[in-house]
Amino acid sequence: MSRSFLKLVLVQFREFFREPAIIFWSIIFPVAIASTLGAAFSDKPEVHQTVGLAGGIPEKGSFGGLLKSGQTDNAGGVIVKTGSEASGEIILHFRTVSPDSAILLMKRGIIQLYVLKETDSTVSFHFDKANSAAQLAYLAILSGMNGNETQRHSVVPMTLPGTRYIDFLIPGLMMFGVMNSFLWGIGFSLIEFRMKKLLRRMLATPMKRHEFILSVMVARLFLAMIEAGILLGFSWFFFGIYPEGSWIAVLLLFLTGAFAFTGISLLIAARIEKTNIGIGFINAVSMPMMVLSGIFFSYHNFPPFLVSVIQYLPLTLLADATRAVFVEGAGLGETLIPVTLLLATGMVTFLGGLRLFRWH
Amino acid sequence: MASVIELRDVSKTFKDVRAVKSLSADINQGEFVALLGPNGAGKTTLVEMIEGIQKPDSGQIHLFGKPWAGNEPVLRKKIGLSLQETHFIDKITVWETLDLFASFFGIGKDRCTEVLKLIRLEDKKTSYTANLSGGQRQRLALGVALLNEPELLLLDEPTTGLDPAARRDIWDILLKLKETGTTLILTTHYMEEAEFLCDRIVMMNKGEILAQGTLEDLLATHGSREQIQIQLTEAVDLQFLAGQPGFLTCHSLENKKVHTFAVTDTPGAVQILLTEVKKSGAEIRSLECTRRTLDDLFIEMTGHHLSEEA
Repeated sequence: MSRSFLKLVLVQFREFFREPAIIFWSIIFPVAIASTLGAAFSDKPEVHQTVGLAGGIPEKGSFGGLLKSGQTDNAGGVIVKTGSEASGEIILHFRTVSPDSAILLMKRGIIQLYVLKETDSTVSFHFDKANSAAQLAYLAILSGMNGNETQRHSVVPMTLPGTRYIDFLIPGLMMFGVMNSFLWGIGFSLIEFRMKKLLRRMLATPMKRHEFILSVMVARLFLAMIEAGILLGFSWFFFGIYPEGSWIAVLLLFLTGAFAFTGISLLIAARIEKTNIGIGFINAVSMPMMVLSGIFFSYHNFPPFLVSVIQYLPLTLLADATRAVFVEGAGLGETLIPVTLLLATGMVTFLGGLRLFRWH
Repeated sequence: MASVIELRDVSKTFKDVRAVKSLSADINQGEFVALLGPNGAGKTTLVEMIEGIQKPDSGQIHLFGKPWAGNEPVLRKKIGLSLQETHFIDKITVWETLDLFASFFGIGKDRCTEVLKLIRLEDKKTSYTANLSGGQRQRLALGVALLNEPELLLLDEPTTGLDPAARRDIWDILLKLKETGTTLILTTHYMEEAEFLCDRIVMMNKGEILAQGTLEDLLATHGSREQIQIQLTEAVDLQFLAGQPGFLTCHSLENKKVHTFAVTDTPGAVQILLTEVKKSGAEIRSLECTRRTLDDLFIEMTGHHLSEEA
């Protein structure tokens, strides 16, 4: 290995570790997201909902019965507990309001739903069915009204590793980190080199072009590995998340994903001369994938035609396959298709990027 | 003496601007040559073509008797250069920058130490390049250019934007190189820089060579070394004095109150001038006899200053 190649790699390591902002975004930030979301979803506290009560309490019927079973609070409202510890408790705060003020409170988002007494034996529920919090309150009230009259049942909470939200989140977040590491670490820094005329200056020496490109790739691969490793170690230690399936499959996915994003970064950086334009381009590539590729929430609720496209986005391929190895225990065989597709994406974009690359 | 650079009918056009127009020149070993001209004169384009960074549309460029095509590895080792405003990697130190570039040439740390001393940045060895002053950054750029002990050094505006002291520092380093037989081409729009450092001055404007030679040659061929500038209280036509004994040219402002004469005999010319002014009845507001500069020459040839945009 030539000395200039080693120096080039070393320079990029130094640049990385000397920039506190980079350390924050690539190492601390992903861990912070993982711990925040993990904490938020692994120990869900009881839910409080304020419900408007207009026209008073009906004399007859199970709704009136539900309210009578509750406790009166300081403000003259009624507090009713529904659900159980196992299924999660929903605590409903009924607040006496006039029909007019109920609408105002809804507009202000203070209540999501109000109950209007129509006659002595009938009530109506007023809420937007698209509002899931309102829907939840409605279902909670219904379950409270039926109470013991429904069939006896129990709820089994899902707390086994692999079935929690955090289990869904971590593998995707790790690959999201890989994407960002490459897009910014290679794409942005190449554009910066060009803007500062450093590419031009280095080319006016006997430096070999392939050594330069290779050094950028190798340095970034190592840094991305460190970043992903830290997140994995953290998740393993705190949430017990690790690949259930083949470690080799994980490594293969990491490497082919890295190659795909190296190619994409090189293609983005091939011609752009200003970093502010580069920022726009990189965001235009990474933002849609961040939202669509099922990192934070499943993409299967998008319209079917969109899903058929989303499935083949590089980040989706990478995140889905990695998640399968982590939570479903997938092996090498199952990762063959995504690995091949990522490799192909990398080949096409890398060769295209090299061809279009402007050194001056 | 051997030609280090041969330029033959070199032309380069950007979109519809002809940056360099069929230019020919030879530069000999050990010569210090200044390309002097305003911004947009084509200096950078010409230098970058010599550096092999840009390709001419037509014409030939030979360095050490060889064209760039097919000789890049050999030629790259023989030349050193600094671009107009190079930035280095922000959080890499002065020493690491030198070490990195040295590795491209296969040069050891001893030479880095030597260069560090030459550019007098020893106390900035461990500073990040982002924290250097303008003058220090230019010295580092010069240091990087000198790492491989180049036979030919090409500097594009090495002192633009620097204060006089920082400029002087760069000049001192370059003067030391003169003793080693290095050939230097530098572009500048400071006539003092060209006058102070260079044996030969090539004046460029709009992609063409206007005039070239030593400072003395230039001023002698294109007029005299002396000039008289007179400012009057009223408009007087003094154009007829041009060509009279002792006078070469006359350059009058439109209000005809300010006149500049290139003269060969200052005492004689002043006497004639005073007589003529007395005849006209105008009063003299000021009278100055000065040595002509390259800027004066440039104004005479192009109608504008070296510091203006071309």
